[in-house]
Amino acid sequence: MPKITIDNQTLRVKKGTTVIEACKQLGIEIPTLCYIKELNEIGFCRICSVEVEGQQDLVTACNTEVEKGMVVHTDSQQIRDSRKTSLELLASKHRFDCWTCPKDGICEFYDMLKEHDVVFEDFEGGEGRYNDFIPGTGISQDQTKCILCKRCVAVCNDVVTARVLKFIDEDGLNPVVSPTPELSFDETACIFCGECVNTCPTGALQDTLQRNDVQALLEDDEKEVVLQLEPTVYRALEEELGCKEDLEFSEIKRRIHHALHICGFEEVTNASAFTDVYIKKQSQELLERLNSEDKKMLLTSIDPAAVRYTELFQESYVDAISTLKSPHMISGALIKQHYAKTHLNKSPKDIAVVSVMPTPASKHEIAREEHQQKHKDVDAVLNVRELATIIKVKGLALDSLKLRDLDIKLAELNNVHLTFQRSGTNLEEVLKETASTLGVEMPELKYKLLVGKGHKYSEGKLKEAKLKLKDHKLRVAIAIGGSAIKELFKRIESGVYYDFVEYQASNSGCSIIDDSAEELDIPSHDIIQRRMHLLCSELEETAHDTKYLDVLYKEFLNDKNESILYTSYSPKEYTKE
Amino acid sequence: MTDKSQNINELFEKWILDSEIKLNEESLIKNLLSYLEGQHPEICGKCTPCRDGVIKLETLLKRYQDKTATLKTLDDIEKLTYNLRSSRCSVGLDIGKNMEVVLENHYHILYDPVKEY
Repeated sequence: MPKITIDNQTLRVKKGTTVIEACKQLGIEIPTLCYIKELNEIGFCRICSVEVEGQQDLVTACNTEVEKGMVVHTDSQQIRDSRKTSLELLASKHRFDCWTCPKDGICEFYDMLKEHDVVFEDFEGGEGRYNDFIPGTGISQDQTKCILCKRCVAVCNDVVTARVLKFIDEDGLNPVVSPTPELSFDETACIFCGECVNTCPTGALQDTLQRNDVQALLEDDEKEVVLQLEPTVYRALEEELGCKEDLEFSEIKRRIHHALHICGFEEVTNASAFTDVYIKKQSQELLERLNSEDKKMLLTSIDPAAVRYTELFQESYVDAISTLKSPHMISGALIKQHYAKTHLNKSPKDIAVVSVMPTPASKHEIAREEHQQKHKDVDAVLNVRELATIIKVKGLALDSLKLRDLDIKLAELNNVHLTFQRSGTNLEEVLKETASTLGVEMPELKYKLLVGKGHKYSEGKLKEAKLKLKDHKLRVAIAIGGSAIKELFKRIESGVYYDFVEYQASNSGCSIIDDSAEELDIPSHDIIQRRMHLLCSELEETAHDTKYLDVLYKEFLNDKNESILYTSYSPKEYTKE
Repeated sequence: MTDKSQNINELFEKWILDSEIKLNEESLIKNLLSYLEGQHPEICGKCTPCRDGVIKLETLLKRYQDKTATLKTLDDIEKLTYNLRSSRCSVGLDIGKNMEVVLENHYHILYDPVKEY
């Protein structure tokens, strides 16, 4: 254990520790832009430069290992000047139209310029290195904002394993981070999991915005717009809208409904209202596969990013994916095809459904060619920030909104089945349902953690369990994160057979393994992390009202209509180079 | 290292680093600019001080040619030169060292046109 001195404080650290980690132990936070622990220790941005006695030049704290007797100074006028100059240089190649930027308010780069007192006149320019905008249905890239930190490249390669984003440095003076040039994100192997968007310290990588589409729908007098929200979105919205009062959840919900109503949403429903349908149908599918002669694994279709991962990289397992649409698409289809007629007295063409979802994969999902039927199930997908902007533009502040009984038709849907958020895993719910169909008790699942023991962001998590339901012996697995999914398929290839698998491509999104969101050191802005936490938080609501669902099952979901719940998947091609 | 940059390096050592050589403003800036330009093929593009700093240095030096340089220009040249000490590899570090020597030996040439009373 070498003994080192940092800013006149002496400490012993493990051999191999980097200076930045040693500083952390003393509570000294060295500013960084490109650093991700163990994943991107490349020293590109040079913001973390420190002085080491005996060294002529400045060294980067992120990738310099401590040595015996090292004396480090982390804060001197020269270091501050050097950091400021590097920031000025980066800022001179970054376009500052922050008010239009999707990351406005959650931009690490902006915060750092502010902290280091960088003056606009000093760096000049501010025009953007390139003017290209790379489009995509779920994610887009605005290259005027890229600061070449390469964090997204590291995440795309090592965490997601899609290898879409590249650092192209054929011309050393003008390197570029992008997918293969000339291609849109949809033409590449991008699965739209959103990891790169979360990790980008600027607004270069962003969710493709659909706010304008929604505004157009809201202004269309012939359309009734139904908004589907996950209950957790209310908490995130409350935070985004800056509610000062400490309000009860039910009050926040009422105020937000009021605000949404003023914005023009005629109806607000719970996005997981029809989760019950999803779980029932998936359980049926599982039983069918268990009973069929040629047993076939069932992969959940709950995460569109994981589905796309399979379609792109694991062609031979495409037919294992559940043919059910994802829950919010099912919900959209049922709202248009049934609920609109029975409760709103409208035809599907007069209804527009807008979902608020945490992952950009859902934005891509609604653009899939399989979903381009006459009446789209869901017309637009917003993220929480987009919805908050719609409310803010109207000048609505939650603090001053009057509490009144709403005359909008907040249907029974709002109270249906909330277990999905609470227990978090779709897999367990489906198994419970299957157990109850088989008339047996659901045994407690004892998971064995196969990947993710070190709680590393890059590893993700993979766990499996074995259980017996009547005559069926099942082996099930949950995989989170691209590399865990890759590992899962490796195991399957090597002969391990799973009956049922739930998988999710994003490690940092709404986590389906309860502990991971908090324990992983996710490289993104504090506010993004807090938002993720809110979106994964438990809710105390337990109301059940299955009246509407009973009607739905009895009157509508027969053999003829059931097809609206299903879709198809096929291997997808992408341009490699 | 390309032939061009090697030649320029030699030239640089011979004419610019040597404090005995008497240069005027025009030839100093011209030589400095051609030296920095000669380093372009060596720059890998990974770290900020070298990738963006060298280009910025050139922009500032060109202000001497345009007669638009001010005291702040010289101040910025010094800052950028020091910042090259945090470069990632010897390309940036060397450019920084050479620039530091230039500033030491020929500071008056750069200071004269911009000095204020």
